[in-house]
Amino acid sequence: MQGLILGKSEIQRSMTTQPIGRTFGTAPALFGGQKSLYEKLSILSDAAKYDVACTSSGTSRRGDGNGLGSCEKAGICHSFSADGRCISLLKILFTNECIYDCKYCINRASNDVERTSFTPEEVCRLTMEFYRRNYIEGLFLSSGIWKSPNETMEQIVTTLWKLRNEFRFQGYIHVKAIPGADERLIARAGFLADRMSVNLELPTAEGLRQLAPHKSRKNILTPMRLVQNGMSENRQEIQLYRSAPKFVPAGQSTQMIIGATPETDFQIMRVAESLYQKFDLKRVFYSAFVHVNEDKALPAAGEQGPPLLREHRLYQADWLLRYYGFRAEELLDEQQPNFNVLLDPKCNWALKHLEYFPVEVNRADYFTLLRVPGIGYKSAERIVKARRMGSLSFEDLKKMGVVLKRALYFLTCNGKMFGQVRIEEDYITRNLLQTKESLPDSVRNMNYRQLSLFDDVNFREINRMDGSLGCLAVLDESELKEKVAG
Amino acid sequence: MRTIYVCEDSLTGIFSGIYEVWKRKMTAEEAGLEVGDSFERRLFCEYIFCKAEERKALAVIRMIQKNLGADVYEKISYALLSADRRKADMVFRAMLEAKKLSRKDRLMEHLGNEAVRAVFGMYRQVANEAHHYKGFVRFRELKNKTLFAKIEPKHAVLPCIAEHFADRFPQENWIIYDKTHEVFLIHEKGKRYYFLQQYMCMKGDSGSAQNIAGGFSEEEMDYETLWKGFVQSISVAERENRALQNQNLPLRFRTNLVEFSKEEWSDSPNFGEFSS
Repeated sequence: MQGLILGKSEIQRSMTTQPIGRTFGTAPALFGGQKSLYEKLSILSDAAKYDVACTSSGTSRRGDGNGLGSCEKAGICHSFSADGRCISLLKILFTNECIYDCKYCINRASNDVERTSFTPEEVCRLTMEFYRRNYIEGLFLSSGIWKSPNETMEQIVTTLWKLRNEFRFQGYIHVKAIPGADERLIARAGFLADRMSVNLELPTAEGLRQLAPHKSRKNILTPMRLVQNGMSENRQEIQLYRSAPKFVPAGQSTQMIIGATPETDFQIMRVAESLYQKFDLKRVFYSAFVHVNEDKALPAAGEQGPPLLREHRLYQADWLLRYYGFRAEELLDEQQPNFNVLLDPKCNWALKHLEYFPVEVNRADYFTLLRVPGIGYKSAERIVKARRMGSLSFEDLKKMGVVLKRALYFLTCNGKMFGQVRIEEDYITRNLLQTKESLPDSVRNMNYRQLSLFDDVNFREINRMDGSLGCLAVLDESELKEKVAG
Repeated sequence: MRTIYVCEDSLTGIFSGIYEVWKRKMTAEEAGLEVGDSFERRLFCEYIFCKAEERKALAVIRMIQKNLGADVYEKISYALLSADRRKADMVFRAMLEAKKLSRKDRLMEHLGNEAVRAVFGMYRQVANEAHHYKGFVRFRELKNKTLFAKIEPKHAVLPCIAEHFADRFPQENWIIYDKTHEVFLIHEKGKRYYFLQQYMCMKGDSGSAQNIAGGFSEEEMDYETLWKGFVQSISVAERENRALQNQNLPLRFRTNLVEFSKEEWSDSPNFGEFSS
């Protein structure tokens, strides 16, 4: 909300000093009243900012020499906003005139916020001019539901078609498939965009029923399945005809809101895992719940802010699922359904499975190395390659850029451990806790404080952690160290 | 007595230097390489200044490509764009190390060796900075519709990003000016790009766009304002994290980013000193 108010004062300032409307003022507004492009951009980017799925990766495409734009496989970050997140795409809603009333959403029908819509031409011009100046890597187009899913999807498809064909734009396009829209519209959008996504919104069907009364799980999964089938058919076509038009070449993604409903991390990870397996998704994004609306169905607003640490742990675990060959059941189970606050998921797993360690650097295979805390896929790859040329010592690992902060407790080099390290759960835990991972202040500077009836520190999160550490939760950090060291 | 070959700081210059050492089959104890003209002289060393010669450089390049492969050649030439003073010497030593290997194309995987590690490290630094600049270049439109951008990279990354921008903006006239190394990258609509040393073209502060073609176009201010507004409104206030922003976008890149320019940050004391 704060951002929106700030946006307004910005608008007034700009209205008096720079007549932005000059360039576009004559363009007919498709619906809604007349607003300058600056106002529209402020409102509709502000409304889109809670969407987190905004990477520009997954496609590699060279320009054709006549149009504008190309795509890099790894994606390119063009700037970083004050919240530290990457700005890669022009992330906007087509319209925030929404007929749905999802409880968590700033644009829900029952909220009194300023409403506006772009025209397809405006979106195209903005994208082209921003792209030319190298501000952005492409367009991220989402939308509120204007009149009906079909009419909204039609506007989106028209915009993309113009951008690709009239403006000859060859940069990255990420577009939302609107649940409930016609199959053919979604298929057309798929041939114009690089990535498509349908938001799962909430991890369980039950949560969806409570917070998003106009959406249903079935409605969301249908377009997701559609895109998946389209992609697999397209893969066969491309094998036959190399120049066949590509359908969603960068794959599809989804996102869910974390912390608005009472699911455990284990439930969330299982949902993510099945999405990767059954729907062939490229990415699942987790969005820490930001309190924008007052509603009795939502958790009360605390001082704590969004559950960012929890979101962080989920992303860490997500990487373990996709790149490190872990399964959700290995990381969590019914007895321990939530991630440890103090340790990352991989460390946590390793401490529970000390029987696999230590691992010999010079012999262990790639996948075993990947399971060592502190060794990522880059380090593992470098180790596997470098040891072909000669055996490696801890000194060599350090010089190669392998970070030993965590790894040294779990490795041997030529049969020797690093110094006096012991393979013992308490000893390793104690040392790992001192590595000072970037934990949020609330966890790091845990201090005595006035008791309160409400869980405004989010103890629910902290109490979930490993039993052996649970009792230490309310101590000051220095005391915590003393306690574990003593 | 060690012989130090001093070469010009360019790919041609350094490869010409390597040519001299290689031709004489010298070892790392007998010979070394220095780059540029501001280096520290050491005792008991003989200094020989070598000229940059295309013929010699090409001979070395062909030798590297043939014996070590295209991949190693690419990494070496990236490393030679680095601002690191040891670059020529380290490349020479890494090439000596390659003689000992059976799979010479895997030279860059031999990270147990100090010289290889140094070259690989420089390659990574240059490649990382080049990747950053693919995103952090900001074009501003001049009156004649030409797009102009100024960058101040540590390493001479222009050759690494030229192909990317040429592919991306084939139908635009654009110029990227590397202020640190005083080089222009110039692309004319529909043509092949080329590089221009600053001393070859004009006097005075040619880096300021006003001097180039009489200032920015009329729309330029509008789009910059739109972009600044967008960068502000896209941030989620509840998640504000300046430390993360600084980590991802170090301050040294911000001097030439429109969204962090003087007008935007004048009331913020933290950024005042970066607004020159």
